[in-house]
Amino acid sequence: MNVEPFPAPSSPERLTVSPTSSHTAKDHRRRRSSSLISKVEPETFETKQDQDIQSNMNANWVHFKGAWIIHIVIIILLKLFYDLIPMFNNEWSWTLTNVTYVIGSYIMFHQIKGTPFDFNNGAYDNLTMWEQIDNGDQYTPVKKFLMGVPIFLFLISTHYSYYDLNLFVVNLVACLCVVIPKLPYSHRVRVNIPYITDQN
Amino acid sequence: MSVVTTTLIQNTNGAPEAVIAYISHVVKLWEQFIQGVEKVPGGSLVLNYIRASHKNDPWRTLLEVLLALVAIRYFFASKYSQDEKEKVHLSEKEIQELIDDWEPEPFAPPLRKEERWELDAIPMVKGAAGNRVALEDPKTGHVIPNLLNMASRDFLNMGLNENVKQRAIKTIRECGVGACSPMNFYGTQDVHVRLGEDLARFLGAEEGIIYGQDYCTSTSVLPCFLKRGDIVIVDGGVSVALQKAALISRCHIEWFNHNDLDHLEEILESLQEELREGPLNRRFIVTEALSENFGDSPDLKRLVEIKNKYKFRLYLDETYSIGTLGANGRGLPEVYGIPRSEIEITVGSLAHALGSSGGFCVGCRDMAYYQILSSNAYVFSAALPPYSASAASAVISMLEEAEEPGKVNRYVKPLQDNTQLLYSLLKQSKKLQQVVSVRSAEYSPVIILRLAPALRKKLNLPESYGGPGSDVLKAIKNGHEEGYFSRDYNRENYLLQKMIDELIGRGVLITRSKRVLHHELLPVVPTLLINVNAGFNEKDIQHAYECIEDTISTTLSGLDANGFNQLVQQLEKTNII
Repeated sequence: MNVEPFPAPSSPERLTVSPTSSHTAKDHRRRRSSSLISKVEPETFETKQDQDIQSNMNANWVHFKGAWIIHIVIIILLKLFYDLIPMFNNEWSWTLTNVTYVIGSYIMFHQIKGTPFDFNNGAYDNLTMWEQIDNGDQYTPVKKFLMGVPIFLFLISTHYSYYDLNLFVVNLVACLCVVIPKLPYSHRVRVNIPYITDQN
Repeated sequence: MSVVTTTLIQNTNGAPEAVIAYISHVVKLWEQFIQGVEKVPGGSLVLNYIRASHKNDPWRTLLEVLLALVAIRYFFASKYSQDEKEKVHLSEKEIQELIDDWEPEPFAPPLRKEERWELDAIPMVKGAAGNRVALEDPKTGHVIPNLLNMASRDFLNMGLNENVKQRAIKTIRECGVGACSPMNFYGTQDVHVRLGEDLARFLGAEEGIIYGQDYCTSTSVLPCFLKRGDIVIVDGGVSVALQKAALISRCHIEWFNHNDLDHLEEILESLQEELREGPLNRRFIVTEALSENFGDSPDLKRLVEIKNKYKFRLYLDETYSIGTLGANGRGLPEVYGIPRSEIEITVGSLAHALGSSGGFCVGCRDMAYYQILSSNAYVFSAALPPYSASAASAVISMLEEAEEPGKVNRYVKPLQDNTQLLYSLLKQSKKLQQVVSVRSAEYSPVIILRLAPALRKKLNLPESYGGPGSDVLKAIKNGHEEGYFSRDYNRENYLLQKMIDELIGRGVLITRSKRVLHHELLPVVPTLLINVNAGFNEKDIQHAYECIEDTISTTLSGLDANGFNQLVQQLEKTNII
């Protein structure tokens, strides 16, 4: 038998008010700061609760010994790698080591937000990994270590190579790129450059 | 450089002797300092380092020294927490005072005497609950035999089917009564896997997954796929299970007017700009195939077109439509001839037309497999008892065996005929028209009766209870538990119960909507529910109709505000607690 599809309900049930005042919520979501520098708003009570459901595995591994040593190991390996390429002299090899390390750690600690795991219902979606480490506490041992590594790398590389001014500037800028976001003043601060960054 | 030196010399020429002496003093001090540093162990190393990196460029040295200073300062700073500022610090004494002041709240607020009747009104069934039941009065022990059971949602009358019973008994003999564990430990047994396959085959999906309880199926499946930042657009008339499911998934919720697909499209259109620029998130439209609260269905064909156009996924709750809609009880998609693959997630209940218990979810393979590790109820709740699974499998195989092309299934046909008959009788009744309105559609096996708007006005009852902006929601927001009680809601329910009680005396058992007002996000209207069963014959339906019509019209017609007040007065007067 061919059953006729049901006709549409004659009088759709009208809700007087939408249960969530969806319009204010929408405005809230749509609001994007037009200023160049904005700050991530503090978490709601609900979000904080979700953050506490489970320890944050995305940020906790930095406390392991191996996670500290690997920074040094990676830097040494990078230096060896660039030394092995004959076309780079000492200056270039140090610069490339420095810049490679900085780009890697910037992406890892300051670029990517949220967690790759789904244990906290997306409660960390607005925070970078640096901001997730130690629940945002400042001057903790691991943060001191991670701050020290790029500065130390920069200082010894300027020492062991005789940079010309151009390379020096490149190295200094690279170093500052990872040092400034790590300062307590930069906590939860977002820099919005129109058409380049897509930060909310 | 030379310019600076010459100006300096020129200036010093005119300067007093004291300045020159001072400068030479400073230079001497500096040299002594350098020599001093060299004597300190390791000092020469530092100086060599500075000399080497200085390379005759003071700016470079300055920058490096600054950088080093930042590092040193950072290194010596002491730890502080971001949350520290927000925390309230209390002294020992204050803490003790707070502890002394604290009085534990009771786990459940005491029962109000006005609500006592709700407990007393729960009917006690003696014996098995088929389409005919015997009710026993728990106080007097008086038994009313052979009532027409229009309160059961076993629509196809499969609960007491001999074939289904035998299959269940066989499974109990093989593996006992309980699964005793969540699915992922040792809760999964062959019958569960078979049932998943049966459901998937019956409904035309790739894979099925079984849940231990139907109510928590949605509240587990939906949050498994949605989280913060995702969007869900929910029909504004869904059952409380779906409301809670959307709520606990923490995603952004939009509501469209019940079954109003124009409104849905309007919302989708207004979201377009936002969806384009934000990060790619998961987007769902959630609705019921047969509404629990309204007894009607959405236009599925258009709904599928809309969700494909706007690239949303469709989450369809087929709790009431499986086994009741479509020629073979395959639900709403069968009615519209739409393949199941167009519906990304289908959830449903085994406890209604499938005559068993538990819930299920069917869809594509990856979707079902994802739930095995991510769906809370699947991972943490005990599995469905094996005999329930085999009972549901038995019902499905019966439905499939009875399938004939071009014909309505012989198990489903009596249900649809009975529904049609009772619906048209109730709808055409002149007596009823003035006092109640039939809210459900003609294909809904749950016939929903509400007090007619004119009568509500006469009795001074509001159009609906709860919902956005209501007193109850305000009380919840402020944590005032005493505000959860609505006097009018209680009275209206009591009026409905009066009619149910009277119908029991005449041999018909119907029921009414039982909702906990403070759990509902959406406005609710108390309703009388008449569940049609495939096991009734025409005479039963006719009899039930006559009883219902007579009872409702005698109770309600001529009832005015005064009469209503008198009727419900005993609620506030009774002293039993």
